[in-house]
Amino acid sequence: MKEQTLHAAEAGSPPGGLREGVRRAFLRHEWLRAYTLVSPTLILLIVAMAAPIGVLVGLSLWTQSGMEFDRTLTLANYETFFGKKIYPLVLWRSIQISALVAFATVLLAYPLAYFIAFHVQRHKMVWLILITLPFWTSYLLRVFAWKLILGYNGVVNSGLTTLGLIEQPLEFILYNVTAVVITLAHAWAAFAILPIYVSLEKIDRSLIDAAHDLGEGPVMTFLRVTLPLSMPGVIAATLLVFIPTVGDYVTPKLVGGTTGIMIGNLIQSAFGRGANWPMGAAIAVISMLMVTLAVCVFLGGVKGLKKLLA
Amino acid sequence: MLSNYLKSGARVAAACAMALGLSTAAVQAQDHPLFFGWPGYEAPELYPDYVKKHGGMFRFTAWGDEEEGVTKLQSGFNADFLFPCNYKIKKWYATGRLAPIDTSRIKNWDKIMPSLKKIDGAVQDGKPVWVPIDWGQTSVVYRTDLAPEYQNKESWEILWDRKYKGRVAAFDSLVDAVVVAGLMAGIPDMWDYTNPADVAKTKDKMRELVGQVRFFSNDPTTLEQAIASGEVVAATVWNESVTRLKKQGLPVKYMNPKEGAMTWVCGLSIVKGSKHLDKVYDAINAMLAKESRIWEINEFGYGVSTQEAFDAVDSDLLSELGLSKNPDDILNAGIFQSEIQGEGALQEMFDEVKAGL
Repeated sequence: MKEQTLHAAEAGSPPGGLREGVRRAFLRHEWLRAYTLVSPTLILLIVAMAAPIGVLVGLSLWTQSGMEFDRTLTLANYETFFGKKIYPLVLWRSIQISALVAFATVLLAYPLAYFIAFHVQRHKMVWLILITLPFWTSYLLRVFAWKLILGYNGVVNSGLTTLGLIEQPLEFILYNVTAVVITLAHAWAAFAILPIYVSLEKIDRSLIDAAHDLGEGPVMTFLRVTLPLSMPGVIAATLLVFIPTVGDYVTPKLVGGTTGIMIGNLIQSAFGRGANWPMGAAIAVISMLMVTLAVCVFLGGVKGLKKLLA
Repeated sequence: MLSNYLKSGARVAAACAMALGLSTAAVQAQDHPLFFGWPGYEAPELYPDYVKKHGGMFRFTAWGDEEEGVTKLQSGFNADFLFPCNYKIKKWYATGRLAPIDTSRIKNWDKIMPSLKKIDGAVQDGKPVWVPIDWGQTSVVYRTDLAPEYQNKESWEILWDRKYKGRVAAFDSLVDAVVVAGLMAGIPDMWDYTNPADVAKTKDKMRELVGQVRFFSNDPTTLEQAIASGEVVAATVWNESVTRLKKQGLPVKYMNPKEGAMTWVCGLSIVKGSKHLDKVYDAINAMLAKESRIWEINEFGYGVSTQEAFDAVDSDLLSELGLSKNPDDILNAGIFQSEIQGEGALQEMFDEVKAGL
């Protein structure tokens, strides 16, 4: 009798047994520990990233008929995308604009990051905070600020008029692709400066001294030591600026005028007044794929360049 | 040490109190209905009775353009009442979210001009779904000092005038801009784009316009600023912009184009299942009250839907604003905006010309 209860107790004590089992499994399998550790992020990524992309892909396979969705699976929207000139053209233009923005941003960010990493000795933190300062105001306000600067009666035009350099305000500086590039390059500057700064900061200073000792001048030292070692930062900065700006639609809408529209505007138009969500989803899916492709081409190019130089 | 703890404790307490205060403010705002409509209609002066009765304003969200508004409501946006215009009521109704209106709860229902209540679409399945509020025009405002020659030949043609290339602006909208290209292209019906040949003709005219305009915008302020600074000499606007520009003392004139100005009537609709139905009716009543209607004539320069408000305004002011006590005078004289047929094709065309195709 007593023995029986004991057995029952043993068999019927899942809490202790389960806990023990989980503990053992935890100790035995490293992957289980790893997955548990990343699970909050993993769950968030699945819910907030993978699932919406799944919905988007699903939606892009439907079609719009009037106010309703026609739920038969079809590639019609993708055919429309490649059948009409406008979509590939605007997507290609968006990729070009963003590439230009990424290039300009990195080019402008590098000297600043270099200065902070190598020449600022004290209060580095203050400098870094100053760089993020524009981010303390809303993105929209920064775009509007550029409208004020580049506008017809804006800072640039009234300044030049006062100086007597021009008589009529310049009209070509706002409402075109250039204005979009300038605005985006400023708005995303911090995303380029910080990664470049971090990779420059990490460079072992003795390597630079060594280059000098071996007789390299400042230019060659930069090209053969500093620049290659800061490449990870430059690549990260390029991607951080390029990827999000392809889909931007607020900036082109506010400063792009009639000719500066980008793929984001078409997606917005399809989801908004075009009232064709499946088409919008298809445009979004294709842009995502093309951006991925562009990034792969970029990374491949960097790899090839490295091999060429090595 | 202890005093430090106390200080930080007090700071935390203060922060908590602030957070609580904010959240109660948010809760209070939730007690009011949400009005979803055209930008500019959040002015409390339009709803004096509501503010008096409830001690505050209801919530407000503006749409970029009405088409976007329809899509937003359709996809589940929870507004309580809306501000549709005549040419779009049917589309709003097709979302299945407009509630029939109990006219017995609208105090000034009988004072609304009968011709406005009968507008196409206002009554659905035998029940009114729309309360007329105001009416006005879409036309071109121009600087009489910069384009004086147009004073004798007012016409939409100014938007296509090569002389003013890059110096004109237009609405970023089908009903307020693109159809004008249809009108100027001479297609048989500027509201019907079911025939691809008509779309193609309109596209040619639109392509020219894209080369002409400095920008497309639906924001009255953006258009007004461009006119005020002289950046553009002419722009498509609604009456309210002209009223405001004139108040600034600028030499501007609202065109009465020889082809006709476009006219429209806008009003209020209630969204089905509103949890604040009583307050929604309060808001409608407040907006139809004499005080509110007079304010709108004076400040926005729009025509209003009740006769009593017109009778209370000086007739000199009315003629200065280009209004008439009989709305039919204005509505019948211009091009009454109607529902666009073949809207999808027209939107696609608009996107294409903007992309430079």
